[in-house]
Amino acid sequence: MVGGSGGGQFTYEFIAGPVGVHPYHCHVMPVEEHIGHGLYGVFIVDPKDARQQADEMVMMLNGFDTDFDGENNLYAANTIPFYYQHHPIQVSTNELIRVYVVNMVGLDPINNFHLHGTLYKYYPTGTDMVPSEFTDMTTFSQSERGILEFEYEYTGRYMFHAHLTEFSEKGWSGVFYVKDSSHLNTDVYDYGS
Amino acid sequence: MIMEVKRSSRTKTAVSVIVPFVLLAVMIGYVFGPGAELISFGVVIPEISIEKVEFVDSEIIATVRNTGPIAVDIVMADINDRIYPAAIEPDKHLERFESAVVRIPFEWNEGEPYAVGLTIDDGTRFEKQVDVAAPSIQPTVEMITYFAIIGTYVGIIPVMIGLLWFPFISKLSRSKYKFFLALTVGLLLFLGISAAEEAIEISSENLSDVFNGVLLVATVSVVSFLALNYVGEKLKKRAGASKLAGPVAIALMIAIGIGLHNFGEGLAIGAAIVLGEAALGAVLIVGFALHNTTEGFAIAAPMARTKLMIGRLAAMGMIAGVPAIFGAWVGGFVYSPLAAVIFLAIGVGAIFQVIVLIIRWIQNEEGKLSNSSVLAGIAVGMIIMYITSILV
Repeated sequence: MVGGSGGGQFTYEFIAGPVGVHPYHCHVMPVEEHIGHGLYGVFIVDPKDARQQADEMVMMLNGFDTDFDGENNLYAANTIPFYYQHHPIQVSTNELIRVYVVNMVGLDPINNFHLHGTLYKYYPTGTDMVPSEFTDMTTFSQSERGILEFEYEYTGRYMFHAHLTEFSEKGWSGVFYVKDSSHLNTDVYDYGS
Repeated sequence: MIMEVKRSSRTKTAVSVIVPFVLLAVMIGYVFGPGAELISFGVVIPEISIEKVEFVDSEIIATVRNTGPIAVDIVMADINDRIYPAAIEPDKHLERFESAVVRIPFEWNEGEPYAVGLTIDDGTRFEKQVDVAAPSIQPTVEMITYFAIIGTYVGIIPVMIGLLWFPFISKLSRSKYKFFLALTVGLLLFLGISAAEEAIEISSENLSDVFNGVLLVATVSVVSFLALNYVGEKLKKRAGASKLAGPVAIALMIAIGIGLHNFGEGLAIGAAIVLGEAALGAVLIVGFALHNTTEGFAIAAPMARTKLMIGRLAAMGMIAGVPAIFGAWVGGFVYSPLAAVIFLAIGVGAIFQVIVLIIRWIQNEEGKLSNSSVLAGIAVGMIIMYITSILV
């Protein structure tokens, strides 16, 4: 752990591992308040033998206490409340989708993820190659995370959201817009290459 | 020569009035103006007030005002702490004291409680709780008539009934009459206190702190007291030195004071009906109606020693009663907490001014206030009012 009065910069060097999806966050007191205002991030450690080719994305689940009353006012996947509800994530039919979900909501003890229209294989923390569940609903404690893998057979708009409905009505909800793979623009999904 | 001297002395006076103001402006400009760094400590805390919430077809409409020291942007609306898409008219940026209307599409249910929340650009949320949702009332002919009828039942009819005590009072012996005059003081004392309480209550519940509710009530009451004192004196002088003038003027002042008070009652009833609190509305109507017969009595008492003038008496009954109708209209159609507080506070000043008048009159007639029938009258008056007020 390193602390500073701001403006400084330092470099961490470590050997990546274990395989999976991990969060990092500020550890300066008051930690809860810092986490409640977004001082954290995610890194992914890929296995040496690459995972199956997929349309990959990260969803960091956030809670924000904007008025300092010790309760979150807004929730989101990737920081902006309702963003994916108004800007649906475009995916295609019969293509593997891999979502790295990391729950960084503080103040509330749990959060969850629920998917419409299909079920996913769930890999807790992403550390094992064998899924623990085939489901459409996963509960996350604080900083709990995992990898979701699924496909859509049919085109359409499918919600994903917290099934803690309060969170979903305060920003943590979005939509997958599933298009026919024959119309797919492959450039769009050329991530990281 | 003399003219010139006069003119120059006048100029001197004007300059001597203006100079302190100029110096004050220079100092304020220096301390607070652009580039001034003397006062740069502390944090300014923004504040907004949700002044009104209306329920219309598939929509909740909130009127919001910036009551803080700095400009704000309204960025988010919620119902029961759940975020909803909303529109704001004319726009989301509010300068100090500027207001806007937030329209939130929402399928609300009649009779349910709702909390309407607005969040400003620094993330602070402000809330207004509505205990019972009810469709906002539009000023149609039927509604105008309806409120007028209610105002008549509450204001005019009970006051007129109270006036019927006139013959009874006029036949009383001197000491009994004194008792009843003192009784009027007791009635008014109670009304004045209750109007002040009501005004302070409305201001603390519905007015933003910038209005300094209690001081607003105090200031308006005192100003109204002084203004009515002035008007009362003029009225007396104009009526001439005849023996009639005193009592009639006092009765008129009482009628005006009670009229302002009844305006407040009308407001309360209109607002209760608009807020959908039907039970409260009904109780208020019955309670105020019973209560207000005592007001008729208060008008009749000082005139009881004069000749019966039915026309005048009835006119005074109208002055006291009709404002209840206006109150019901204002309360029902254009409810504004600020207006309600101001009207009630004017009523407070009016009532206390009348109390002073009657006491002076008793003193003139009888000399002593510590007379047992006077003291008993005041006490009984307050007790009667308290008992009838329990019904409200």
